Amino acid sequence: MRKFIKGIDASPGVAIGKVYLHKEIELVINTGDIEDIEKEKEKLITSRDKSKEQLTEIRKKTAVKLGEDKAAIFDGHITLLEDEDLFDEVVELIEDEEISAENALSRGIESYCEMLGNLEDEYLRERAADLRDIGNRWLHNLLGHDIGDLSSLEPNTVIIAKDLTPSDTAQIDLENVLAFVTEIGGRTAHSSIMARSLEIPAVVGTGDVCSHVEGGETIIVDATTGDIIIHPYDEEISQYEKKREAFIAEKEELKMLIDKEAVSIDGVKANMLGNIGSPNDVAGLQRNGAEGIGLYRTEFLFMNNDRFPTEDEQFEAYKTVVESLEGKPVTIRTMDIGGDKALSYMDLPKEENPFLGWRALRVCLDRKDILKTQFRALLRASAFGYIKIMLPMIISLDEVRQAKVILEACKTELREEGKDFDENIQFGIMVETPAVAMRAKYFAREVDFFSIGTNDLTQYTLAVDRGNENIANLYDPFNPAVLQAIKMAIDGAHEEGITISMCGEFAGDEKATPVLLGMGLDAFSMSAISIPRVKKNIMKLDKKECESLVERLLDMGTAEEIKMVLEEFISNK
Amino acid sequence: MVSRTVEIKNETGLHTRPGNEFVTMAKTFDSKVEVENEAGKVVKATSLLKVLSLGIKKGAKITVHAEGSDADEAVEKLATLLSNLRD
Repeated sequence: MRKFIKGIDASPGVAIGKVYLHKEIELVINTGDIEDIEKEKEKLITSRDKSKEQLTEIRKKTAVKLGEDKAAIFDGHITLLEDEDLFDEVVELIEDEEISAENALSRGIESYCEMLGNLEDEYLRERAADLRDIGNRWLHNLLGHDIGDLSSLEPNTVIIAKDLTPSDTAQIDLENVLAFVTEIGGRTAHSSIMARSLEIPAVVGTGDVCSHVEGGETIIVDATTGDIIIHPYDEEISQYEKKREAFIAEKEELKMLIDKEAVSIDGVKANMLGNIGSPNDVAGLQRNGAEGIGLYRTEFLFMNNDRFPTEDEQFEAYKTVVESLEGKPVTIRTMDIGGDKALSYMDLPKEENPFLGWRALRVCLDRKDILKTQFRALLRASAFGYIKIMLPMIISLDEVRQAKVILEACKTELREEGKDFDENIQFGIMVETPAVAMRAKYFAREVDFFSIGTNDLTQYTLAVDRGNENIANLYDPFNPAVLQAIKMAIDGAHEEGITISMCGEFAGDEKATPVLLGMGLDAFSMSAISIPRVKKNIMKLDKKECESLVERLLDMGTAEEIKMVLEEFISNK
Repeated sequence: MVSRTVEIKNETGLHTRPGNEFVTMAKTFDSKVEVENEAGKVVKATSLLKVLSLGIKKGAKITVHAEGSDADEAVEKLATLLSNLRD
């Protein structure tokens, strides 16, 4: 029976293949009496050996794919699996209480998990999760379950799973996987991020897809739209085969542009930059021809942690990124916590209006130690490449000046300590509040560059909470007020002779390209995957023509009218 | 019996990966090796689970005890490893 399912397109592409269902099997423990103690002990040992083989294999693959550092964690897992105390205690339970191996093992694992779970230190406490993961593997092997080996798949496989964990994705057989589909997760889920960086088509958030397949079915995955068809009609197969070929052809065409510059027909060049969240994202930027980093969001350093990252830890992360960029600019934004981003170890007060509250630089100017540590780390890393420091959530010049005083103090300290840094390090701000957009030239006189953050600028200009579904239709960066604010920021920057880029979602929106080019934006910064397509569009545009388009658009009354005109403009290109 | 106390200096303490290095090294000696935390709890140095259960974090002072033919070498090497853990 043909079945159509709609999900979220998490990583673009089209695939037609056979389903491999990655099942989660329930652990059913025999809690009754047993007949043969020796047999249970033997089962315990064979399943431990089997688990060790599997972990060794995962370790090997992780080392190849993600490096020796990430692989070393699995050495620890193997040592835990072979822990002599755990083993002795489980055997003792089997012998003394005459219970099944799985019953004894699950009790043994649980008691150690509890012991680790009671520790004071949160980081060590979380090691209980490692142990539970290992315990589950051992138990499944003990019960003879097929754990599902994602590392050796048949050719042309589409993986379907409820969810894919990091250890699942680490072992996926990349030679034979065409796409994957999961029931849960959104675009920012671990598996989605992984899919994009591996450039594998993926659809997530499909609800109950697993209940519609058993494995072996023919399936179409259109991850450009989020559509899935199980048991498709023959004509659909040929139709999607064409779509797949067209997608690949476009990808190839875009690849040809990687080393080309984004220059408009009339010879105006725009810089194409990338947005990253961690050093791991740099590879994707390089594959897609980014000319630098327009936004390095440092909050992930703060969020994937159970305490504030130290100066050295931050320094290492920044240094890794600037070194791999080999002299290309790296714009690093200081901590942007608060609003919708919380920290487990920092007591951010519950607020009525968190987006209008104590967030980002406002936190940093109250807790100057946080900002100082980050500035010192950034300055030290600037000795190894081209760093630009960028402050988020500015509303007044006071904030800019206060931050500058702290930065200068850090420079003085480093000079006294004899530590190298870039004496002329550039210092800029984000334009994400109407307060800065309206008074752009006054800010431009005191900083080296601007970068427009359209997500917040839209939210603050329109007074629309971007996370509130009830008013999602009002959240529209094509609203003429938002476009006007962007124009004011660009004009203000140019009046004072500083450069301005954009690092919000809008920069990667193909419909926005003619508007931004026409307004004179100097640089576009977006996720790596969007760069080639936007570049291709810029190369088809004439800047002069876009300038008059902008004039026409700003004369219009509503976002709908603007979008209609833009669509027509683009379809004629 | 040979003993030595060291302070843990790395940020995240003795978690799985550094713990594994420690336990793997402890297993290479003939001597019986134990670790003791500040609360006086003593466990076998060859069980990673037991070592983790001590909850050793940054700033903790822990003591390595060894008894046997290579006790001196065991304490020397294990104490050096503990004082130079990386995150």
